Amino acid sequence: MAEETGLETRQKIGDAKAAPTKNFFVNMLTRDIELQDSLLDLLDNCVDGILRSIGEVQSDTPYAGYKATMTFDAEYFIIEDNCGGIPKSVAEKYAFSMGRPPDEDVDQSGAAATVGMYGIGMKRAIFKLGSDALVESRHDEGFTVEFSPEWMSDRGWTDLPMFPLNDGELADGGTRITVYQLHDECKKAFAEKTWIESFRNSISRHYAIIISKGFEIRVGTEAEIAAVAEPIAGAEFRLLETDALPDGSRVQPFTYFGTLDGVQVEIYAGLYRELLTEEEADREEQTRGVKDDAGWTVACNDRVVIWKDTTRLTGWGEATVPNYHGQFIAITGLVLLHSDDPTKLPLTTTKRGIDASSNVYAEVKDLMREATKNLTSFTYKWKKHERDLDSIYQNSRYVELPALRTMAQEVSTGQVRKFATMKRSEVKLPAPVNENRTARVSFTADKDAIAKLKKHYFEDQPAATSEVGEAAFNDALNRIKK
Amino acid sequence: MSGSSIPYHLRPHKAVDRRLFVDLLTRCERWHPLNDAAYISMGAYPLEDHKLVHRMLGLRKLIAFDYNPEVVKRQVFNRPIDTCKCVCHSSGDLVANLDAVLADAGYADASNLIVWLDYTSPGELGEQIREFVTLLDKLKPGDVVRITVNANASSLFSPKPQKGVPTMPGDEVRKLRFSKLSERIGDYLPADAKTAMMTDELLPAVLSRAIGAAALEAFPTSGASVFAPLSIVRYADGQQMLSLTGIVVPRDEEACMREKLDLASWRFGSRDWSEVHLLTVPDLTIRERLFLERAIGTTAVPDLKEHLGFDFGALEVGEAFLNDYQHYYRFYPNLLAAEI
Repeated sequence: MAEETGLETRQKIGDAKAAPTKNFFVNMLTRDIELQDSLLDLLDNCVDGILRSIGEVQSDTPYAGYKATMTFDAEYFIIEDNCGGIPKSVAEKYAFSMGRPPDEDVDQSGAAATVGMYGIGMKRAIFKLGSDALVESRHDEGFTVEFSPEWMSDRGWTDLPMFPLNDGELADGGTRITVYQLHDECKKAFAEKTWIESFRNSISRHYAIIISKGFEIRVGTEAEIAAVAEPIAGAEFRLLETDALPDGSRVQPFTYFGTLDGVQVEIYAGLYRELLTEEEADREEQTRGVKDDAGWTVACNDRVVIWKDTTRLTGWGEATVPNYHGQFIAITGLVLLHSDDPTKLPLTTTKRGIDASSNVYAEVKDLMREATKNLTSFTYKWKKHERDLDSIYQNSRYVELPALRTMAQEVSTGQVRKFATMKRSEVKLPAPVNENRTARVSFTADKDAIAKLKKHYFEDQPAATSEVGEAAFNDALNRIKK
Repeated sequence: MSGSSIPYHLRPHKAVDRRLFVDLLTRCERWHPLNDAAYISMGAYPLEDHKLVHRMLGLRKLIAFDYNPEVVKRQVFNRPIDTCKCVCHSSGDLVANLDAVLADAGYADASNLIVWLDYTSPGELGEQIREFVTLLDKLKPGDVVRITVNANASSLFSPKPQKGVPTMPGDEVRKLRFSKLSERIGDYLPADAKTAMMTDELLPAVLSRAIGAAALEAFPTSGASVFAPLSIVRYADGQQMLSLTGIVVPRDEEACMREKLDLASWRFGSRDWSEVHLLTVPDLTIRERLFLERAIGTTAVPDLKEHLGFDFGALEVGEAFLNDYQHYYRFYPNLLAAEI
């Protein structure tokens, strides 16, 4: 057969198959996502369901009353929610197809600040979990759809039959996914209580903001769920703030507030604890001694995608920002990105990490680096003046996220000259007096010799080695002056 | 002797380089007006560049900075106009707090920024390039940045001769220089940089491309703007220095900007990060200078030599100078001894 392409006529000699294989989706794509992330995808669908149900978000706790329960067993897995259910027409058109169809085919009336944009989460989670699954949902007309083992292993992409849901099964707005014939990885994980515990931690972190808005998530074994397990509490985010010193400086959070390329951006950075003393920092360099809440957390439409990161991903070790190490353990930050059009957010399909090619995130990272650099410089400046540190913590207190968000709108009055649509808070952190006139002296000495000097200068009084060194230094200096 | 310890009035290359920078800024105005821009640079104690940008471009929003509070006090004494603000900051602190520094000076409303990071210390090249990236992170289209760094190959490594006798073969010296350079700016070194390039002639282009790689980090290809190199010049008043000037421009306007600046007709224009020009400014007597000024551009080089009666090429100055002089004689500084 001859085919005309432009000016030439070419003879076709065959067809090269270009359709995707089912094996790729069922067995290969699932390797790119961790089991826990895959399960979080199912929770994301719940939240998207709520957003579709409630439309515009108005209160501080828009998700109150909505909940999801995940039951783990070595033989099966169930997730059940009351987040709105899947409309029958959506199920027919694309809820069970691979990937979201072009926009014109999708009902956009419920478009909201969701995190589901790829249309892959539920299917990939089911493939990751096992080879037999039942999806039941009741929005308008209840239905069930089964992913049978035969369909999973079959080569073709035949449509899945839908059946009516029995009366009494599932309340209105409910969805239940049950997976049997679990894969080995899941059997082992679900039988392990510590794995379930670590998954709870994962939810506590990645759903911290969503939980704070009222969503309840329960996770456990059948017995635990039957005993009405407590919903998972979200991880907290808070920053230190102090009263102003006479020169107007004080410890306070850096905040940035505004929009970039259609994405609402909020950035909060500061200290979540007092700075480490030199001895503590030294110990921290050798072994992790204290609870480490340092690093950057990034959330897209409330869903945390980066948790407490201290790598280049969040600007550490880039430009003039030093690499993260123990000295910076008090520094933390949170980035909240929001958009009604999730395609504008730097989300990846696994929702862990960030789409590195995102220009919005590159711009946000410029601001994150600015805040980190100021905070690392702050810790360096005070490293030499540890003993005066107490003076800066005047009336120190924590500001929790809701208060931070309110505050940000008030205090973010400074200009960001690169981005006319962003504002920043004008922060003046305390600086040690005579910062430029002093240098740090530090050396190692024989312990017996230090003890001897300590006895000489302080007798039996308690004194740190740094104080002994300082006493000896001052003594020598005084003698020269004489 | 390091560049920073030579008195300002004995640095003719630096003086010409500075004038060329201002000449370039006036060309930048063909694309984007700079009259309301804020100018920021170290300036040292005489604030020569601040004076120049004020006189030639009419800029009034001037900021000078230095790490040493006593130098800042001297700057305050020497500032050309009252609106020149002198502040005590290290370059690192300044770029980290750029928005705050501008706000404190009252120049947050400046339409654009022109910043000159004039570094001298060769040992801090890594920090200098990273500060440059931090600065670029905060810039918007129309902002101009100039960075000057030490580009002396022997600053990287130079063996100490014993009793006047060389102690190491050249190959070995260049190898050690290369490993020192990799240690300092390994992240940014071009993939094809190699030992043989660790000479005064070739090192500047390696540094320039490294700085280009750093600029790409600040303006990645996914972004809407690019930091376009405009002029890259090397010169030596003692130590060899490399000066790079570029401008932030929306990616789709770069070609239009280059066309308007017409850098092809400007002797020291650079189209990319590897195009480095050598600037040679010899000591000329006043008689030589006045003669050359009248004749250059209209008289062929061999005829010039004949008129002069001697050959600059045979002297230390080198032949290239006669070809270049017509491009910068306007900026040749008058250095005269005077009894005051």
